[in-house]
This record gives sequence, C-alpha cells and structure tokens, in this order.
Amino acid sequence: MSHAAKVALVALLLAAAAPAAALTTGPGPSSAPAGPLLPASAKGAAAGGATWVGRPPAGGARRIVTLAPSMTDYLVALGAADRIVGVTRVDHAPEVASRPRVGGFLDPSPEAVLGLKPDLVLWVTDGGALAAVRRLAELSAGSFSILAVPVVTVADVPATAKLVGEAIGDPAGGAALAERLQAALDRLHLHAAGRSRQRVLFVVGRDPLVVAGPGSFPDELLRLAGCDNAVGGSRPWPVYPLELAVAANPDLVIDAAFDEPAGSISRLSAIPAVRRGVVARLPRDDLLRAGPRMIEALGDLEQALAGAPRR
Amino acid sequence: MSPHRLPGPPWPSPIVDVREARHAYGRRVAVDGVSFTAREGEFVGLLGPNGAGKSTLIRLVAGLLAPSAGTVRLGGFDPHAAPRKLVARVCALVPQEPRLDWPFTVRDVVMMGRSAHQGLLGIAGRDDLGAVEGALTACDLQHVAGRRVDALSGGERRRVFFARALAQEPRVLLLDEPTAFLDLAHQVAAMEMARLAARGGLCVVAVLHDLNLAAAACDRLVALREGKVVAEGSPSEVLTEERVREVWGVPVWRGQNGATGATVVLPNVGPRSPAGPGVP
Amino acid sequence: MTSPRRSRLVLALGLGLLAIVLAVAGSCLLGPQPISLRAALDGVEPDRAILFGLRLPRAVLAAVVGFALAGAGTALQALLRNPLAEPFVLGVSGGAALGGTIVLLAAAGLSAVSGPAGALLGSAPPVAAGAVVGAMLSTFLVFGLGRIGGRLVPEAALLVGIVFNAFVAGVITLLKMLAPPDQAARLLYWLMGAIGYESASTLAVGSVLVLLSVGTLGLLSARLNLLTLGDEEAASLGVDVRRTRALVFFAASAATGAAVALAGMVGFVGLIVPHLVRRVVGPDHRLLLPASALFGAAFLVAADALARLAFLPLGTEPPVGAVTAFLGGPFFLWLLRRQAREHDEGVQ
Repeated sequence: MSHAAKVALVALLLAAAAPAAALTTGPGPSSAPAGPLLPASAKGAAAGGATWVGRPPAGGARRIVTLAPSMTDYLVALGAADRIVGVTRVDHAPEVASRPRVGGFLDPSPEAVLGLKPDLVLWVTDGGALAAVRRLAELSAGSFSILAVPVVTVADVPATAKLVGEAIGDPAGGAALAERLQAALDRLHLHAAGRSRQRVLFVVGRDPLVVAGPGSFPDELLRLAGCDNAVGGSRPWPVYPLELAVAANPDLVIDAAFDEPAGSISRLSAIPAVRRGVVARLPRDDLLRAGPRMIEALGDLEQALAGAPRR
Repeated sequence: MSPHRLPGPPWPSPIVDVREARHAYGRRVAVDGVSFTAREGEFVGLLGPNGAGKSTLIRLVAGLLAPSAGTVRLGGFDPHAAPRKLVARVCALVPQEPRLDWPFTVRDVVMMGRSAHQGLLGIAGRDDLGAVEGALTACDLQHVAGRRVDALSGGERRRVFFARALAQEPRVLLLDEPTAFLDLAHQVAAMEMARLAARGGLCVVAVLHDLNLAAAACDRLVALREGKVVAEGSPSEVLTEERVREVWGVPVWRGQNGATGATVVLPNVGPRSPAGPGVP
Repeated sequence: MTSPRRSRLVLALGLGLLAIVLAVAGSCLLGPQPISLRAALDGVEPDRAILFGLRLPRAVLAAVVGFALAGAGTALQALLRNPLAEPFVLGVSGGAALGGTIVLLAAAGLSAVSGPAGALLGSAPPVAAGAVVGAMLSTFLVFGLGRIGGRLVPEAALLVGIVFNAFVAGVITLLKMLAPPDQAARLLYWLMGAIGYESASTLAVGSVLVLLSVGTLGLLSARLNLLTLGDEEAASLGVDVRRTRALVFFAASAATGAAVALAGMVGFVGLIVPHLVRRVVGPDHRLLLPASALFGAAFLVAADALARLAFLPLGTEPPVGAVTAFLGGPFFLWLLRRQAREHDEGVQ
C-alpha cells in the first residue's frame, strides 16, 4: 500500500470517530436506544414514560423482584418490603439483607429472576441492562409482569412512587407517598426564599474531579433550593478540569465523594472555597439515590446550604 | 493479455525467449537489456558474480516480476500477464531456500506441485497420483515419502523440492542456485538430476556459482555482469581466461578435465601464484 | 485428496460436532438456577424458559462466535505464516469493536434527535455492518503497514497489530468518555467480550454471516496450504497470491466482524484452538480449518460455561472475553518462548 493510502486510511478512521463524538455531546439526559421496553423519547415517569410488560398483578403483587436499589427503597417506604423476593447485588438496604441476589445493576441474571418465580419485576430504565430485561420480557410469557420506569428528573420521583403503589395493588399508599415526597420538595423550594443565592460545586469524585452538572439530580435539587450550580456545560456527570472549578469560584463546595476520606478534600485547595474551609460534607449518600431516600436526605442538603456564610 | 491460443505442444522454439529485458528495484538496475534464449532439451547455466542479475532474470522468466522494458516470452506468452495457473503448468521454479514453517510430509509437499492441474480443493485424481509417484521415483525419494520434511537432511530436502517441481509436469524448469549449501556428493547429484531432466525433454535453466560444475553439466552457459550479458555459448567458449577475468575479476588457469573432457577453470591463488589482485 | 485423508476429515468433523454437542449440553445444564431437564422438556416453567430461552441460545451464540474466531485465526496464521497470528492479536477484533462502537454511539446520538431512527441504527444489522467494516479496515491497515520493502513481513504485521490495538483502546476510551453514562457502561460490558442475550434474529443473521465467511475460508484451504510456502513459491505453483490473499482477508474480517458484533472482543480463541488442533490434525488446512472451527465452537461454549461456574459463588457472571484472556495471555507468552527456543535450536 502506498504511503499516501496509509495516511488516508488512518485519517479516515479518525474522521469516522469525530462525527460520532460530536453526535454524542447533545444536551440533556441521555436516553438508551429505543426498544419494546422503552418510550421513543426520553420521557420521564412524570411525563408518562413508564412502560408495562403485562398488567399489574391482580390482587396485589406478592413476589416482587427489584432490579434497582431505588425500587427497593420505594417498596420499603410503602411498607411492602416483605413482598420482595429478590434484589440486585448492589442493594444494601437492611430490609432486604437476607434476600437472594439476582445479579448486578448492569448485569441482572434473567435466569436467577426466573428461578424466583416472581409476579412482578420493577426496573429503572436508566441502566445498562436492556438486553437482559428484554430477554426476560420475552420469556415472561404472562407468568409475571415488568414495570420499566425511566427516572430522569426529580419530578419523576414522586411520579414513580405513585406508579409503584399502583403496581403492587396499593394505589392509596402510592399516592400518599407521592404526596409526602412532593411536599418535601416543595418545602425545599419554599425555604429557598430565605436563603441567599449561592454558587455551589457538588463534588462526587476527587481523583479525577467529578462533579454534578446540568441534567443530574443534585443539579436539579440545587436549583430547586434556590442556588446556582457552579458547573456549566451539558454533561450530567462530567470529569471537570480543576481550572474551571477554580475559575468558577463557588461560594460553597458540597463534598459527596463518599469513597474518599473527608480530609482529602484539601487536595482541591486550589479552589478558594476549599481553602477558606467552606466545605459541607454530606453524612450519607442518599442524595445520590433517586428515590424516597433522596427526598428524606433533603434535610442534609439544607443543612449544608445553611452552614455557609451569608453574602 | 491472453494468448492467441492455449499453450501446448508443439511449443514455440525457443521456449524461453527474453529480449532486451530490463528490471530495476527502485533505482538499482538489476537487469539491463538482457537477451537470451533457451530451448527444450537444453540445460543452460546462468553464471555471474553476486548482483549480476541472475536471480532477477530467473524471476522475470517465471513471470514473478515484470520487465520495465523489453519482452519476456515463455512458451509464446507473457508469463507476468498470464494467469498464474497457466504459467505454473508450463514453468516450475525451485527456489534457493524453500520455506519450511509447517511439518508437511514429503508426499504432501510433492503433491502440492500438482495444484496447477487441480481444482479449488486440491482433490487428487489419478493423473496427480501418477505424477507424484513419478517425481518421487525420479528423485529417489520413495523410501522417505511418508516422513516429515523437516526431519530430512539438507540434501534430501532439496530433492523433495525438486520433485515438487517435476510433479508440476512443466516444460521449463528454473533452478535458483540448486547447489548452494550442499556437500559435494549432493551437489553432483543435483546437477545430475537437472541434466537428466533436460535429457528428458525439459528446458532447464539454472543459476549457478560453481563454474566447474556448470561447465561439466550444462550444454550452454550465459555469463552476466552488472545486469548485462557478457558472454554466451558452450562452456569452452565462455570460460576463457579473458572472459573469466572480465566477469569475475579473478585470474584463472583454464584447462580440461582429463577424464571427462570438460572445461575446468581454477583460480590462481597460493604461494606460487603470479602477482594479481589481492594476492600476497 | 487421497482416501485416507478423506476419512481423517470425516473423523475430525465428526469428533468436532460431537464436542460441540457435548459442550452445549453441558453448558445448558450449568447455571445459577438449578433446573430439571425432565421438567424443562415437559414444559414446566421456569425450567423450560431457563433451558430453552436462556441457556440454549447463549450456548449457540458462544458456539457461533467460537467457530468464527477459530476459523479466522487459522486462516490468518496461514496467511502470515506465523502461529502467533489471530484476530485479536492482529488488531482485527479491535477494529471491529471500534466500528461497532462508532455505530452504537451514533445511534445513541441519533436517538436524542429522532428515537426510531436511533433505534434502527442501534439494532443488530447496522452494528454488525459497522463491526465488519471496522474489521476489514483494520486488516487492510495492519497488512498494509506490516510490509518491509514491499513484502509482507509477519513480525511487522504482528507489531502493527499490537500497536493498533492500543490505538483502538485509546479511541474507544475517548468515545466512552463522551458517551452518556449508561451507554458507556453497556459499551464497556460489550467490549469486554460478554455473551449476552441477543435476539433470535440477530443470532440468525450472525450465524449466516459466520457460516458463509468460514465456508469461504474452507474452500480456500488448499490455497492456504500453498500460501504457507511463501508468496513466490505459491505463485510459481499456480496461486494468484494477491487475489487469494484479498479473499482470505475479506472472509476472515467478515467472520471476525460478525463475532465481535455478537459478543464483543473475545480474544485468543483463534490462537489457542488452531495451535492445539494442528498438533493433532497436522498442517493441511483442508483438514485443519474445519476442525479448528468446530473445536473452536466447542472451546468457547466450554469456556463460557467455566466462567459462569467459577463465578457462581460470587453471584455474577464474568464476560467470557476475560476468561479467554486469562487463559490465552499466558498461552501466547508460552508460545512465544517456544518459538524463540525452536528458532535458537534451528540456528545452531
């Protein structure tokens, strides 16, 4: 092959990569490619984007498998934890500690699910398990139903509570839970008036620096709480250049990097707020779990915001 | 370019016809306007120092290279332009150091020579089996036919590749340094096989380094130097003292083998040699 | 082909098919959920669904992928005259993965604009096409750059392949960073060589592609024998070297592309299996190629079953690509050392 042809080939390969990259830097939360289990666009649960395979089990679900920890949280909040027969490997809720595991969040095992003979399977679609769940749907053959819920915005959380309540045959409980969750969110918004408007940097990883950007749950919660997210751009969980964080000069840094010791935040001392010690460490990771636990943890967020000096 | 008629008997004479052929590797000209011919039943030896263009010339005749100028005709057609299968039925090339990466048996290797006559999957017909047996017999390999080639001695291995070429049932046999790395007995045997093949009607062209073996076995010699033909003719015509000094740059004594009458040349080295290049 | 050879071929094919059947049967009986064969045959749920809906398709998928990779590996080894060649090492799998990745990510991007169009682009045939094109381009590149003085030099091609793999890994990492998070996770899982839950139609398309391409290689197996002798020798024996090489590239790339589209980057099958089979069956590719392909299928089914069995206590199933790499990496090094030692002995 001539030299020119070789160069052209390499260029072609790189050129093919470029438009693909360009296409993926779209704004907003992502949607997995559509399939029979997903809505055509990224409609969240609140917008009616949930899908059923089969119907809600008559007489209420008795044997439920949750394919996401947040789904377990909803059931626990509805008092239906005893009806759970199977959970994922990454589910650490104490109420289901003894339940058999059906695989991971991204790699559930259809075989294990089938073996538990469930009547209802609850799935959060914002995960990588589409192929497995699709296969599960093909094999369900009417013996169980699957509820696939896209949880993409904060508004979807109360909506999901309602859906789960209906799914397990407890619509009243679901509605009540939804109201409670919405009330907590409203309270957060109400209190915003009494708070100064701050610029906040929400850190979830230190090395590399990973922060909550536009489109992520913490971002929405911050805005609901009357603050600005110091992070710009369009990615929900960007690996953020430290320079940009320094230049953004947030008024407050919320430290949610739970797998790292609290003290090591000093590595980010280039950021003035860190140097000044204006850092609020969250006591638990519930704010990152898009379910009832997140709502319960809103108090943590308010505390973090309150602890900052007023402008 | 397809030949006007399918090659076959009667073959044009000379069966190998090279005219003013030229070939260069990049800037280096290996063959520079060479013309030579070879006929069926003839054993032609190509001689010359390293870099004279002998191997290149052989490959031009086999159609593995294309001449940048001049023409090369094999059996009346252009071996480079013609389909490989066709060329392989007419001409067989035995390379200097055949590759041996995989442990095929002797019979397998010789059978490979039949692929030019076989279909896609190489299923052996009666003709193929016959040709293989004939080749094995001619090269005295029947007793090792089932052994792996890499388990044979160097001399035996050479015979295997020679047998493969014979199994092709070609009209032209091209040998690239058939005596390289062989001991004396095997060198003689190799030259004998080539001579017998020529007697059997094949046109044999061999690249040789040993002037005396060439003189003894070949019917005609072609001496090359720096890509050009310097001399051509019978051994006694080509191997004169002046010619040898011209082509190889070495002073020699030329005489005759008392027993066979073949021309013999011996280089003038040793304590009693007259002054010459590089001699103490 | 002589008659003893023909009977050896029949024997090899028979044993190969038997090995596949045994491996598939064994794979079907292994899994996290204890099931009863009798119950499954009687149509009892969930035994029936697990056996015929999950385990059997998975085993068939593994067999198809193993068949493709072992066949392609055998052909590439003949082409490069080097037993270290195989689709993964040469970067062909990497190119296929890159091609498939680009299509998948383009589909994700397109989904944001138009859902149905994105779904169409992200479905099996376009991804497979992307993988096949990627495989062919990388083959072209590796074999084109692996030349010294205009002649294909196997060691150079292998080096180019290794470097190309690193390049592809880098590009894929970049693309992953730019991809939406759940896509990135799924992509990673696919790339690691996970045998998942492809639909029946995907499996059918893939199988057809694999059978056609490996079949082509089988038809070319006699020519492969000649190619192992060297370009010049093959040419003087009547082989149109360039055309045959191009056909073999094409078929091997198609087989590899299909395999990668079905199961991500599963490596070393094309290295281990032909090597072992060659020691039993010999170097004649008319025997070696079909035998390698069949035993490759059985091998991968068994490796996948092993992967699932070994990780049973941990409650997860590792991607089979990890298992083949675990087995294949040391095997590759051992083979390398053996080659070096044989070379030294040969020189002496």
